[in-house]
Formats: sequence, C-alpha cells, structure tokens
Amino acid sequence: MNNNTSYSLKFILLGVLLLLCILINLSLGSVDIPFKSIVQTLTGNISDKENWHYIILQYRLPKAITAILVGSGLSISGLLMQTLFRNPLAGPFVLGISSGASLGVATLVLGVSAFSGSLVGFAFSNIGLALAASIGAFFVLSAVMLVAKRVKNTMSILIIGLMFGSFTAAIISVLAYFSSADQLQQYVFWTFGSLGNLGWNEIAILSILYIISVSLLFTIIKPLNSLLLGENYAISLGVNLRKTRNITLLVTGLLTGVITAFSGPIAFIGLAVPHLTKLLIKTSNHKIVVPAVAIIGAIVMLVSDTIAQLPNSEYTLPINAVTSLFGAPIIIWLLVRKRKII
Amino acid sequence: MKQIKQPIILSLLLLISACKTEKKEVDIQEYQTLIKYAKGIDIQMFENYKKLIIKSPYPEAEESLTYFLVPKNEKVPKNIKGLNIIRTPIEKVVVTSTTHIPMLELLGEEKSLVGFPNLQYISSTKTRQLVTNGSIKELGNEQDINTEVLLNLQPEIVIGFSMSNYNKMFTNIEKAGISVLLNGDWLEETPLGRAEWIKFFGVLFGKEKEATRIFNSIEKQYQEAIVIAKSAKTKPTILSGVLFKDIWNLPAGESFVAQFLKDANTSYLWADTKGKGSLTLNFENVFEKGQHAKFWIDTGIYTSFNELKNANQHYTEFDAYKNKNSYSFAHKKGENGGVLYYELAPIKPHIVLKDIIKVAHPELLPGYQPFFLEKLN
Repeated sequence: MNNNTSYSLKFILLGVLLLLCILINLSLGSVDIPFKSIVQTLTGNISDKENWHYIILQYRLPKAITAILVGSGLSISGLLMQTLFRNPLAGPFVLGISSGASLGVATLVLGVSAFSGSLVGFAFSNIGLALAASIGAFFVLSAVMLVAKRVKNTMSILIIGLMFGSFTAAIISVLAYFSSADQLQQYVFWTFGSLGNLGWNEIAILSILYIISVSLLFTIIKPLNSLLLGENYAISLGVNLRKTRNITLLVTGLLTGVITAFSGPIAFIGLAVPHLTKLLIKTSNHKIVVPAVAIIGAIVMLVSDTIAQLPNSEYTLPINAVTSLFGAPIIIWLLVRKRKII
Repeated sequence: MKQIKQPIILSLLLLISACKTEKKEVDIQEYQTLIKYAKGIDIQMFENYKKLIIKSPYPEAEESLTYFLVPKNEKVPKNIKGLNIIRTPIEKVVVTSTTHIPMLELLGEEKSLVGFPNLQYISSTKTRQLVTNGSIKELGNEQDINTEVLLNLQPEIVIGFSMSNYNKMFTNIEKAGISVLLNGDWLEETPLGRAEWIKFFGVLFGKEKEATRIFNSIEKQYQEAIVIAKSAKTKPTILSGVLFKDIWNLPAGESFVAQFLKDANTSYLWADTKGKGSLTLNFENVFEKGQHAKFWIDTGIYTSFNELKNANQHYTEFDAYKNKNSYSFAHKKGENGGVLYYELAPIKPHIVLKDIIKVAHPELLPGYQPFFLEKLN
C-alpha cells in the first residue's frame, strides 16, 4: 500500500514534467514566438501573426506528438528486448529491425538510380521512405522470427539478429559504393533521424499502430514479470513461453518498425531510457515500469528535440546526434557503477 | 605514419620546385595573362611556352600548382627544363566531371576523351554518341577510378578534382607516369569566373584562341543581360531550395545561385547570409521569411506542383506555390535522365541569368525562350 502511494506520487510528478516539456518544446524553435501567442494559438484563438499560427499548429505540434510517440515507443521496445533477452545491452534494434529498415531505404534511395524519372519524386517523399523502411524492417524481422522458431535459446536469437545486422550493413555499403553524392546525402540524412516532417495523416498511421502494439503488450504483462526470473522458472510458473516470446517480438517489431519508418533509426533512446527508469523507479514489475518507461522516453525525446532545434538560431542539429549525446554517457555511467542492471 | 609522411614529402618537393622556378625565371620576358575573372587559375603566355597556374586546386589551398605547356613540335626552352612540362596539344585525355564535357564539345575536342568514370551520367549529345559507339571507356567510380583500365587507355593527362592536397588515387596514377591536373573550377566564386575555365581546356588543346572567343561571347551576353535586368522597375523577392526531411537546403548569400539572383536584379531573401555553399535551415525559419516570397526559383528535383505537395504538405502554404510562381532547373534531362542544368550551366551562365530575368521580369526579354528554368507542371 505504501509502495503504491509512492508510485502514484512519482507518476504525478512525471506527468507534470511531461506536460512542462511539451509546453517548452512547443514554445522554443528557430522562430522566436512569444509564449502568449503559443497559448493563444493552442486555446483556439488567432495569434498575432498568421504564419505563427501555421508554424505552431502544423509544424511544432505534430513534431511534439511525433517526439512523444517515438520516445515512448522506442523505450518500451527497448525494455521488452532487455526483459526477453535478459541482457542489459539489448535494445529495440537488436532484432535487425533498424538494419532491415536501413536496407529498405538504401535500396530505394541508392538502388533506384536517380535517373528513373517518376520514381524520383516517390523516393524522396515521406510515404515512399516509410514504405521502404517498413518493408525492409518486416522482411528482416520475419527472417529472424523464422529462425527463432527453430532456435530454442533466446540468446541465439540475439546473436542471429546481430548477424542479420552485419549482413544488411554489407549490402548497404555495396549500394553506397555505386551511388552518386546526392543519393548518398539522401541516405545519410535519413540515418540522422528526424521528427519534424510528419503531417497529420502520417501521425494518424503512427498512432494507430502504436495503440495496437501497446494493447497487445498489455496481454503479456504478467508473463513478462515471470520471464525476469529465467525461462525455466517462467515455464514452471505456467507461462506459455513461445506465445509470450512471439508477442514480445511482434510488439517490438511493429513499434520499432513503424517508428523507424517514419523518423529514421533513432539511436540510444531504446537502450538508455529503460535503465534510466529503473534508477528512478526501483521495481521490475512491468505494470509499473512500462508506463514509467513510456513517460520518461517521451520526456527525453522532447528535451532532445528542443535541444536539437537550437532555439532562436537558424540551424538545427540532427536528432540522432542529440539522443546519443544523452545516451552514451548514461550507458558508460551504468557500466562504471557496475550495478546489477536488469 | 606513411600517410602523414607522404604529403610532407610532396609539399617539400613542391617547395623546392617552386624555388627553382623563381630562380630560373629571373631573366624571363614580359608575358600576357589570359584570365580576367577566374580567381583560381592564371594562364601566362610567354614567347615559346605557356605557364598554367592552378591557384586553387582544392579548397583552401595555400600553394598553387604550376605547369609549363610547350607545343609538341617545339623544343623545351632551357629556362624551364626539368619543371612540370606538359606537351600540347593533348590528344588523349580523361576528365572526371560531367561539367567538363560541354567545354570539350565547345572546343570540338570530345574525340580526345578516351575514358570517364560513371559514363551513365554524361548527357551532352555529341559525347553521348561516342559513349554509345564505344570510343569512350568506363572507368568506374569517380572516387576510385579503375587504375588498370586507365593505364591501358594511356591518356596523356587526367583532369581530376580533389578535396585536399593529398589524394591517394591521383598519387597512384601519377606514379604510373600519367600527369594529373587538378581542376578547381568548382571553387570559383562567380559564374563568369567559372565559365572562364574553358581557357584551361583551350590552352591544353592548343586552342586558347577559340576558348577566348567562346568566353568573350559568353561574357558579352552575360554583361548585356545584367544591364537589361537593371532597367527593371520591380525587385521581386525570391525563395529557393527545398526541404529534405526537416532541413531546408538553400543557396548561401555568397554562392553562385545568389550571384545569379543578384545579377538578375531580384531580391533573394537570404542574400545577406555568409558562405559560398548552401545553408541548412529549419523549416520554421524559411517559412517565416519566405512564405510571401513572389517567386520560388529552383525547387530541387521536383518538377511539378503535385510532386511538391506529395513530398511535403508544408510547401502548399507558400505564396509562390499557391500563385503557381515556382520554377525548376530540372525539367530538361539528357538521354540517360541526367539533369542537363548540372552539366551545362557552368559553361552557359548567360543562359541561366537570362532564364531568371525572364521569370522575374518577363517584360524585359520579350520573345526569349528560357532554356533551363521552367515553371513547374
């Protein structure tokens, strides 16, 4: 009982922090818009300048929502992978999802030569990239899942995922070698990740898949807790190991796949946020950790995006650079502390 | 260690040769220079040889490269013996940039081209024909030319470009006894300066007179166009470039495109920015500044309003989109789909300028048919 109140207090604090971060994220950007106009616009009033109105509602707001979905989605995926593989270094990308997505995008951008007319426009559009990334991610993920069916040992799946990663990286370097500077730039920009170019339609797609994945996740919260005790122990507790594993892989694949498709391979969030969360909330109960990880993931992503926008300057940083600046020191710190991190 | 040593040795050698040059040339005659606009090159005409000085072979170069050009049917003059000698006219050449192809064609020297990396990028028709009938050989990737094929072709010189003073590939080619000339035309700051590099090819092929004539005509037409543009009564505002992901790439204030826009008597909204390359700005910023721009010139790879809209909904909010005042350089494509503008524009700055004037001040050039710049479909 005591525990529960302390958790709800923490959740209230986290919720307030999240709201604060959303507001800060909305009010800071390259263009200096006074806070008053932000509030006016958000409450449905017309602000002083018509193009501010557009910037806030059509650019910053979708970006903030994307940041929340991406941050929480990747963090949840990371947590699931760390639980499933019982390995603190697992992340959403260990299944080869990001390599698959990268392969899809590389094939589209680098492989489709810039010279095949009508495809060019498509290759440069959001939907084109998202589709290519999803197909690639799905392709590699299903290959890993097929292999996983035959392999009993979860650790082997981890290694197989990594192997698929190197395999696709090799194909990408062959493609990259034969492409023009322009095409390479396109591809490299995609790998930097970005949050700011999604329209409302794309956000709708992202949200629907996000909700489906999270609902699926709720069906396996209990078995996940037992998994922490080890696979054999979980089986003895009556957990259907295969089903749990498959749902976990499916949820991670869906979440990471769709996020990577729309915003590029965003590094470190999925790896670092679960650790950060477990430092703040000292429990392994997924009922509590999953929502906490989601909120903290969203907060970290919003903060990273605010930094990436370099408020009031004309320039921006790639989001991946900022998240890694956050992530890397945390991982190092954890390793140095040699804390038991599962 | 090796990698550090080599440039040091190279630069030492360069230093020594530079000193030599000065000593030996104390007693030399008057000379005439051939160059008016270009900052990265000088061609000095001496009585029995020509001195070709590449002042900016690569970005931020501190030392220039000097070559002495002596006709094949004459003896090498004593005072330059032992220096970097190139015998002209060149009969077999390899170039590495498509922008050099039109220059060869203008000089009637496309037949001297024996090899090129990435043949599929060539669009110029005469040269394309030579590619089709197999007289120009594929050399692979421009950053990693197939050395064996190159050696087999035995060109007299390779005209390359480099990002720094050390380029492993070119060093290897030079080891095999083929001279490599680093062309720095892409580093020029003005359109006319860049076009003037046709004289670089002119002097190599012993056709400096033709090159000068071609350039003078370009210069004359360019200057005339500037005068015409000056008579315009309005100075419309210009937006340029497109988004990729959330970064908007647009020409910096000291870039080529900005120079064209200035010469066309328009008001480019980012004309005051520093830099010769491109600016990478945030959408918000471009939107606030450029939403009401009159014209949108250079929409990247997009050649229709539909493509723009599909690529990003935000584009539709710009006045230049709503009023259909958006123009692209990418309409005209070569046989293989390469955009002609990229290949031809450096040697046709007068056409680019007139195209922009025709868009911004249509009343000034009645009857003029734009070549590169066309309205989006």
